[in-house]
Amino acid sequence: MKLLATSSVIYIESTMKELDFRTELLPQKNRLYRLAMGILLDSAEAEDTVEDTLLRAWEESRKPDAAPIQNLPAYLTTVCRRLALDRAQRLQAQAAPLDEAPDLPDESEPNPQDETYRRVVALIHQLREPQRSCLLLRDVEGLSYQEIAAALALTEAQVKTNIHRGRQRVREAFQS
Amino acid sequence: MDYAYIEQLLERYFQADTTEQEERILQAFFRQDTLPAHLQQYAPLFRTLDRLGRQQLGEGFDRRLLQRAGLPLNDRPAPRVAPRPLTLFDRVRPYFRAAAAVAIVALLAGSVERAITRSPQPQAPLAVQKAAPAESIASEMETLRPMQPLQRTAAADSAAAPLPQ
Repeated sequence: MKLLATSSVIYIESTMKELDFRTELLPQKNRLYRLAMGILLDSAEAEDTVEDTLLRAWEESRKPDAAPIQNLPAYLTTVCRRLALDRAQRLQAQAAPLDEAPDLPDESEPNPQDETYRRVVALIHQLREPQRSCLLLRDVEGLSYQEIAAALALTEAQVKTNIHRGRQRVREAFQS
Repeated sequence: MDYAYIEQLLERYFQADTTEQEERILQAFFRQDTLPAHLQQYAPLFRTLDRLGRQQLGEGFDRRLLQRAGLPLNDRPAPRVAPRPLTLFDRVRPYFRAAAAVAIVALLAGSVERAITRSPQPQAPLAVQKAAPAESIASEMETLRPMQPLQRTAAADSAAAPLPQ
């Protein structure tokens, strides 16, 4: 019986895959932050979203019956985007005018092009989902259509269509 | 300068027909300080995307997150040192070294002492050092033999006797 119990513990330990917080999760933080910033336009809110995302993935991987995460970057992108959208919805319900004053990452350093930057960020932020997430993941993170499709649970054709529409909206705004 | 290629890339970019590499070319092009007037209007878009891609979390983020996760801030475990049993050779190795050191010192001291105590001897010229032939040695021995005492002979006595008167 003891032997059985011991061997079952060994079996559980070998099938579960606990993520290493420092080497597997922390290196993902900046790209998740950029995605959250694109959705929330608020650095503090984006930071909290990244924290929640990484902690959720870590806790999930520590559950004894947890299945190993096959595609960690895609999984984290999915969770981060979902959490950021939920948070944005909550903030919008509190009547926070997010798109009127986008938060800049380095406001302590005055930049003459800040006004243009704010205008373009607001323009991207006004895109509908999933156009906005597709555009951010492609044009800011440089992901392939395949990677974006995996993260957003879309087909590659849908990703391409969303990117096309998002870019057209931005172009029209620039030409007007 | 002909910007037809960039214009074509731009058109395909807005149609979502560009590859990742072509989009990197556009990013690099709009990073330039001087741009043609007709393409200037797209510079803010690409420069903003470029700037968004460089956003990073602040310094305190890791510390805050590790605290929330209940993990130590410095996760550098002490290196595991497994004890290795010493062999007999490992045990006597220091004595070998000591013995070698003593031998070297003794050898040096002996050489120095010999050099100091040896009396200086003039060296013979090279010609003399050369081995002489056997005959010349024999003749030299002959000359060095002690002188024989003179023997009185009858002839000598007669020659020396005074003449009869």
